[in-house]
Amino acid sequence: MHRERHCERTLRAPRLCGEPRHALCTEELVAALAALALAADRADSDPVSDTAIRCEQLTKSYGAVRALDGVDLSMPAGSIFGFLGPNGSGKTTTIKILLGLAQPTSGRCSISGVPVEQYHAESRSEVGYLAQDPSYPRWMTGREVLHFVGRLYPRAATPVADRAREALHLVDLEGAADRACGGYSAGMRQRLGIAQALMGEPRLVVLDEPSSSLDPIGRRDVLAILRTLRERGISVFYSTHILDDVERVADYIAIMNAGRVVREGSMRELMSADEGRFRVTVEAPANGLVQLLEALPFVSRVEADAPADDRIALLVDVSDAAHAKRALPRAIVDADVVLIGCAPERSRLEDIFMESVADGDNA
Amino acid sequence: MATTPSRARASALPGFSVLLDKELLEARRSKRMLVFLLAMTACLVLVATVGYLRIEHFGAAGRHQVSGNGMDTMLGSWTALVGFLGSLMVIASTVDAMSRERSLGISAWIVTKPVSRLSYLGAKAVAHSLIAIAMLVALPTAIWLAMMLALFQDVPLGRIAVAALILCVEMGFLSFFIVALGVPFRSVPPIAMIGLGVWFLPNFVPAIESLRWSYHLLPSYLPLAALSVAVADDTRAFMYTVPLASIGIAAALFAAAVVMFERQEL
Repeated sequence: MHRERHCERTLRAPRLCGEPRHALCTEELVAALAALALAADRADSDPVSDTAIRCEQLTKSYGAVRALDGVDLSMPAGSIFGFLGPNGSGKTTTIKILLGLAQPTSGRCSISGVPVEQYHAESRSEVGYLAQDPSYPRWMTGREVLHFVGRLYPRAATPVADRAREALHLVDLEGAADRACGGYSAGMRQRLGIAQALMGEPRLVVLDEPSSSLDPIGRRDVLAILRTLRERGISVFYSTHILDDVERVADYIAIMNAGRVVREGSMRELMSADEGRFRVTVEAPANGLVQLLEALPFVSRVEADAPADDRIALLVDVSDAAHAKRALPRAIVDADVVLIGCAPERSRLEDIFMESVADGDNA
Repeated sequence: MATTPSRARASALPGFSVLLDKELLEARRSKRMLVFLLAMTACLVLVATVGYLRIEHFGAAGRHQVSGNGMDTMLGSWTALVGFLGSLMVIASTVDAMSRERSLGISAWIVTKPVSRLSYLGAKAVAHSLIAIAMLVALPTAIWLAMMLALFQDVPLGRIAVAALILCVEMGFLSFFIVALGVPFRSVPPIAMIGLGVWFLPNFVPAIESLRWSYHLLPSYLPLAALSVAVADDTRAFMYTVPLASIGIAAALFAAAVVMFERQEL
């Protein structure tokens, strides 16, 4: 009862909650996806590459303009891959080449180990795609769009009507399913886009800015869907500008700038704590604290971070992190200053992104 | 109906039937085609009605005898209306078939599915041909013919059937041609201008002595071929060469468009 109330209160779609602690929500979510997520079943029977996407020295030129300049990219299967970059950095061009909508000038690209150029029409059932600004025939209803797409995948095991019903349920569009999609809001079109991308029971889903038109609740629902897809073994290639979303769901990221991948790796590696730097938060006033910390033998530098109301934040560089973990809080408390927090400073994706893009610009 | 994996098999035109269904459903819901159907039918009903009103001496029989000239006038009006007015209507209904979907990104969306680009283009061209034949030739002609048979004696059914077949070839040619033009040209104005130009400019050919051979081949003469079949008892070569040449030209243009479309970035 409590679980149901939670879902109804906080989400548009109770079944989309996806909170692990809410067993009912999770069970319903899993049930809704059961028919869609055949990738895991296929994985048992088919030999599958452990790399969902690989690009090697991919270039694309439009006349004198070099849109892609030697892109190297590797996306492990079964992961969520955040594909980041400023406007015009080459993200959409890369996606177009992956989907066969554009031909590369040089270089190679493969999906599940199969070169893209060998990806004939029928093999495209491996990949579901959501465009950046999705449009559908205005005269079709949402349900008709899904039935139309579903019928294009004759190899799918589940009947089209069942797949459409589950997909509509998943993206919370059941109420608008029989309305012409010409009257859909941008957010509804985006939800329909995710639903249609799943109609072929794909192994890989390529989403170009899937949450750009969504409100915060819609964005959270999308992230929940992405996590569930990953749990089911579906790889998610996810291009976005919303760094916070990527930080919350991605396993791996690549940052593009000026047609090149300037940073790539697992989120764990990139966001790993900087063992040599601590963030200290104390209550104001804290007169003389900076001088006190600078006098400690294991502290090499103290830097004030942006102050907020009644708090002071300091970034403290240390030479011995293991010792600092114990000694730093003790020194602050001994100085009769109210300590709010003291922990190793973690990198923020925004900082990594800005730094990568700036490095790329300077290169 | 769902297809189980064991039943699924590779198709030469993957997705063609689904895309064809989509196009036909769109046409059924289109007000534009309904307006064209009503307009064409009204014009043909008017032809039969005027023909009936021009009869000066009614016989005692239920159906009336009209002079050869009177019948030829009605047959000529039918072929002219379907052949020329119909050609304008089919161009108008097909001109944005490709450009609209391309500008909205619907083409790109569709070809990322398990369909070939040939299926996509082919379904569009076939659907527009079928719709044009049904809405601009078959249905209006059926109503007109029913009136003709009810009102007049000696309606030349055989010649009307052959002429109708030539008009169907015309609708098919124009549909394939205009859809094919949507590949190199991404907006409506050039498609409309080239379509109309190619269709109507050859009417000046008879004025140029050295080019007269071309009206044995040019698709623009399809309405004239239909007219000749409907009203003339004698057989002329171009009645047969023009439809055959039109089918060949449409196939060649469409094949070129498919090759271009396969390489095009969407």
